[in-house]
Amino acid sequence: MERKAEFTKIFDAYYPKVFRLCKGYFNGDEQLALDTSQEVFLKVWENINSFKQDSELGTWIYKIAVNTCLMQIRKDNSRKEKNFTPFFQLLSENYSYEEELKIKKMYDCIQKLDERGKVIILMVLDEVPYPQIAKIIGIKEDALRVNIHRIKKKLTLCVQNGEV
Amino acid sequence: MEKFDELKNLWNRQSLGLIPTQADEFLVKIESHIKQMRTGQQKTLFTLIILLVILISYSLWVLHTGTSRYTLGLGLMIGAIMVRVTFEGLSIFKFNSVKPDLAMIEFREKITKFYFWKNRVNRIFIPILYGIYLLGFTFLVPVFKDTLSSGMFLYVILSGYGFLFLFTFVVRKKVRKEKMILEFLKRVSET
Repeated sequence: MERKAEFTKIFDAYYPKVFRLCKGYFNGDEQLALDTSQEVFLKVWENINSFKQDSELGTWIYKIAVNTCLMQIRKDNSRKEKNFTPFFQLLSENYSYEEELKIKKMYDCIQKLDERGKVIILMVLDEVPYPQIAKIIGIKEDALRVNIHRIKKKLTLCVQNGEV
Repeated sequence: MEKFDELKNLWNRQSLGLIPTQADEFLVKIESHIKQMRTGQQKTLFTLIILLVILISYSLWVLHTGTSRYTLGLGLMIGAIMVRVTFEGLSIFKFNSVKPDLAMIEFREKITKFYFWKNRVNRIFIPILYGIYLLGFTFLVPVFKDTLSSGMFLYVILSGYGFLFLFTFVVRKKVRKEKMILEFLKRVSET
């Protein structure tokens, strides 16, 4: 019962974050993001007892999410490489047409980044703290900051000019 | 980075679209999935044990009653199947032993090692095993010819070699997929 209560808390707090990360990673493919998020939480459920309390919960969940996204390559590469454009109906009603185009461009530009850059920028966009991202990726914080600066610049330029 | 902050705001205003189910609902799904998975694993294990018992019993019987050609042919085939099953079990064990909560770079290194090993097994050892299986089957052909009707003999020959032909395709496809995964993992490390 305690395990279930703990899982429910984790699920409620992190499912939207994991889903958003997966959706960005898979170029807006919601079905693939949904399947992957479910796989992430299946792993969370299976490994919840091995979670070490001394490490941060968010870091632990994001590590599982990033690795699960990477390993979707095992299942169906063609879907991952495909371009999905189902964004228009999914945006907030407050979006203008210009903003809709911009966000679609953001998805396209994120896909143009390398794999590590992709997951880093998705976590930056979700406001995951830098020390946490460094632990998730497994690099030093200084190196990460340099990386993030470069990726932010690339993304901003790409959304403006369509180039990476 | 004002422009980037604008993009971040825009990004975070997105609707989540296919909003996930509730935790309770999800737990029910998980539990049924795990139950299904365990039943599947138990069934596979049960089938393998039955197969193994039949093969060993048959081999022992043949050892006493069959010709040396028959014993050798069957022994090679059974041995090849047993080694193949062991490789498959080892592969599942190795893959499952890579923890999903490692840092991305460490995870990538471990999973690359696993796929490198699996690819080598599928490229080198599995064709050798199929060769041994084929040799065993070929040893048995004269025995089949002597003991089976011509129609049955033709069926055994066609299905036996046809099965191997089909598996060659399956293994080739697996090797290609593993190569593609290794290339992808290499790209992750290069960045």
